[in-house]
Order: sequence, then structure tokens, then C-alpha cells
Amino acid sequence: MPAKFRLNHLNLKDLRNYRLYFSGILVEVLAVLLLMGIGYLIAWVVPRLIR
Amino acid sequence: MIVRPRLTDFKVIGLYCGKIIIGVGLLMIVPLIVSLAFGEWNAAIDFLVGIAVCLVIGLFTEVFCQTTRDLTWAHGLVVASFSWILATAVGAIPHWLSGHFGSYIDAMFDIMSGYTTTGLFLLQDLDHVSNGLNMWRHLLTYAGGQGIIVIALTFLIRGTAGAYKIYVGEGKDERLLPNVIQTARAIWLISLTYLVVGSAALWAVGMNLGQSPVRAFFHAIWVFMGAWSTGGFAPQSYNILYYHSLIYEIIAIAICIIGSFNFALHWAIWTGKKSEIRKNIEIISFFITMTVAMLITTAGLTKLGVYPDVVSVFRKMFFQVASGHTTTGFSTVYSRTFVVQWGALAMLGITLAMAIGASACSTAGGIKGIRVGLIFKAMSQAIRRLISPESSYVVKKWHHITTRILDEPATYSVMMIVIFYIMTYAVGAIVGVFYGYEPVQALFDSVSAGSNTGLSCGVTSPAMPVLMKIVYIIEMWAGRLEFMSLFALGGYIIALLRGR
Repeated sequence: MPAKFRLNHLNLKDLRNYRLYFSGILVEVLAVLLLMGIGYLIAWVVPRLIR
Repeated sequence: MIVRPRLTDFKVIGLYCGKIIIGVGLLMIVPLIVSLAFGEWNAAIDFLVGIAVCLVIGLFTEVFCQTTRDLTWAHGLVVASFSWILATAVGAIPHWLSGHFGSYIDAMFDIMSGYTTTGLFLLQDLDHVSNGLNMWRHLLTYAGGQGIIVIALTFLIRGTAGAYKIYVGEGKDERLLPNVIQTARAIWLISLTYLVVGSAALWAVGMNLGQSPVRAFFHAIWVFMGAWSTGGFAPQSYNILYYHSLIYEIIAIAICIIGSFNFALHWAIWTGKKSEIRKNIEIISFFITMTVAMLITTAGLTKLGVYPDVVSVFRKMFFQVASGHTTTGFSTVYSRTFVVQWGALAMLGITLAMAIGASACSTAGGIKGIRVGLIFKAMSQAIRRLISPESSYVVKKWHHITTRILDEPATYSVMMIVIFYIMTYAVGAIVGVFYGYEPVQALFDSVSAGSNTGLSCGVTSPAMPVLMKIVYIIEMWAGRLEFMSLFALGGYIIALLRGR
């Protein structure tokens, strides 16, 4: 099964490819980690700027 | 001339509303099984009564509202808004019978809060409710997150033309797949996959914290449902603070953030379009507004010296801001901590995050990132027009799954919805101030209700005035359905009274 599909040509059977499930979840988790990194940076920088 | 609705119009609306009520009744089978498994006989009887009422209403509509007439757009919008009221009224039966509520309005408040994935609650003595009732609270928030209509579309309604009209009425207008029923099933597929992954992670951490396997399992499922649906219900009154675990908090907030993404974005990423996550206007908007809210909140906390070190500031600030921005409502601080420790500036930072909310066509509420993104695009376009030669034509593009050109009708509809949200927030705040609450606190809880978040600074309680409870119920309902189907319902009532 090819790794990429055209959205309009999809049906639910295509999602039986678990590799896509896993990599999709991984990309979304990485986005969350990036956001947490920004949050930590703000928690580190802002007190130093204000005090 | 206003045309008065005919009997056949009511039959169409009644038929589809009845199907949705049957769906609510069938959903109660899950908490019934949990109650029976734990030997909670009183709770089991409560659910049996609820199921019986739902089935009687459903069968009544099946018999008396049978019609071959097709669903129009107006019907779809009215079904979407009216079915939420009906589902709230009948869904509150087990709640009311449980004896944990001061009045039926309180029970309806909690049900509406659950369906709309808000998370505010008036339930008393939460730490001692039955497992069945806890399952019902979380299941309805999980189901509400996907959309009650989506459930009915998936299992009960055949034929796609009418189904799509109700689906749009519920505030979801994205088709992941060409067929709307396939779209509804795709939404379930994404949600159930995350249910397995997220619950397993929370279960493992819960057992590691010392919970028994069964207790850790149910807590994991319930917290997952509260997080994924951006609902905010938790099985304990201390919410996520109860677990006192950084890992548990990180997993819970990660599920909240991922749950707040647009289902179309999930679908695109899961089907190979991974670059969508850095190009999508909603994600860019979410990252920018989240950063602004974190800056304001951190400034407020730092000014008052609430937390001594970077890790403490990050842990509390990030969790509350992300919980507010994703409109989840999970909390790792006590309600009154916002008022007595965090102060007005930090509260305003979280209020801003709650007001904006997360993605459209997700489980989240609020104004939505796509609208905020489009408003900034429109502002940028207007400024560029001003500084460009008169003969030039300024085009602004935006990307959500496909790249589109920003046009005036889109900007107009976005502005209209944003104004309605601001008015909703304002009305709740004014009512709160009328009853003697401090403006910042009244605004905080009003925005929380209107944006379907669920964070509270202590205003929302069983002791609050009945009118405020009703205003918050309407705010939750209006915010979740994004106004259009409410106006359709209002229009129908006016047509009924004044039409010819």
C-alpha cells in the first residue's frame, strides 16, 4: 500500500495501514512537545525580564 | 411574508430528533453495564428509567412522525439545535435520580456541560458518585465531543443528503471524505484509536502511582474522555491535581492539545500529508495565541511571585493556559487559587486563551483559531491595500488542507460569528456582575461557559442564582452550536407565532 493517498480517493479501508496511524500520531505528539518547549522558554525568560 | 411551518415540517423535525433521542438512550446502556458490573443497583435502576424514557419518546416519534418528506436546510438546523435541548432534558434523568443534584436545572446544567464538552459542574459530592454515573458523565462528554449528530449519523440515520444538513447545523462543516456518513465514521476511527493509545498510557501511569488495576483503568478511560473531548470532567473533585503526578499531567494535557486539532487536520496527517501541521492556518494561529496567553499569564504570576522556580511556573502556567486554550477545563490548581493567588493579569491571560479556543471541526469550543487567523489575514490585507497604489489588487491566501484566497464573504461571516461570541461572553459577565461577582471573576466564568472550557474561579457552584445557571446553559449551548442553528430555531418559533 502506498504511503501517501489523495484525500478524495480515500476510503476507510486505506487506514488499515498502521504505519500511517503511528507516524500520524508521532507528528502530532512532536507538535505538542514543541509547544511545551515554547512554554518552558517563556517560563524561563519572562521572570528574568520582569525582575 | 413569513410562512408558518406546516404539520409535515414538524413531522420531519420530530422524526430526526426522535432518532437522536434513541441514540442517547442506547448510549445509557454503557453506564448501565458498568453499574451492574459493580453491583450499583440504585444507579442501574436510574439508567433503566432513563433508557425507557428515551425509547418511549423515540418510538412515539417513529410512529407519529413518519414522513417521506426530505429534510431541508432549515429543518437540519432546527433539528441540530432542538435535539440538544431534548437530549439534555432526557439525559439528565439518571443524574437527577442519583440524588447528587439540588434541582433538575442543576442536573440539566451538568448534562449540557457534558454534551457541549464544557466541564463546569454543579454535581455535589463528586468523590462519592457511583462508577456508573461517573461513566455516564464522561461518556456523554466523549460523545458530545464527536457531536451527538455524528453518533446518530454513524449508527441510526440512513441516506446522506439530510444527514449532511444536520451535521452542518451542529457546527461541523468539514467533509473528511466525500460522503458525510463516512466522514462521521472517520471521526470515530480517529477518536477510538487515540482512546486506545491515550488510555493505555494513563492506565500504566495510574498503576505506577499506586492505583489498583481496575481503578487505574477506569480513571484512565474517564480522564482520556475528558481530555480528548476537551470536556474537562474528571472522576475526582480535585480534577487532575488529585494525581499529583507530572507525567500524568503531561499525558493528559498532550491528549487535550491533540484532541483540540481539527479532524480534517488529523485525517490529512494520518493519510500522509504531514507538512499540513506546519502550514495549517489553525495550527499557526493556535501557536501564536497560545504564546501570547502564556506570556501574559507568566507575567502575572511573576509579578506576584506566586511560584519560586522555572519548573513550577512552567508546570502550573502551561497546564492552565493549554487547558483553557484547548477549552478543556482540566485544572491542577484549586478554583479559588485563580482569585487569591494568581491575580487579575494571569486570569485575563487564561480568559483570552479560553475566549479564542482551538480548532473548528474539533471537539473544542471558543471563537476558533481559524477565525482569529482569518481576521489577522484580513487586517493585513486591509493595511496592504492602504499602502498600495489604487490600481493594485491585493490578494491574501490562507491554507487549511488546501490553499484558498481570502474573500469578503468569508471575512464577513467570520466577523459575524466572532461578534456573536463576544456578545455571549459579555451577557454572561453582565449577569454575573449584576449578582454581585467581581467583573474579572464574572468574565472568567462567563467566557469559560460560552467557549465550552470549564475552568472556574469559584463563581460556578450549586449556590449560584438560578438565572445565572440558565444563562450559562444557554451560553454553553449557543457556543457549541455556533449560533446559526439557534437562529434557525428562533426563526421557526417566530414563524410559528407570526407566520401565515
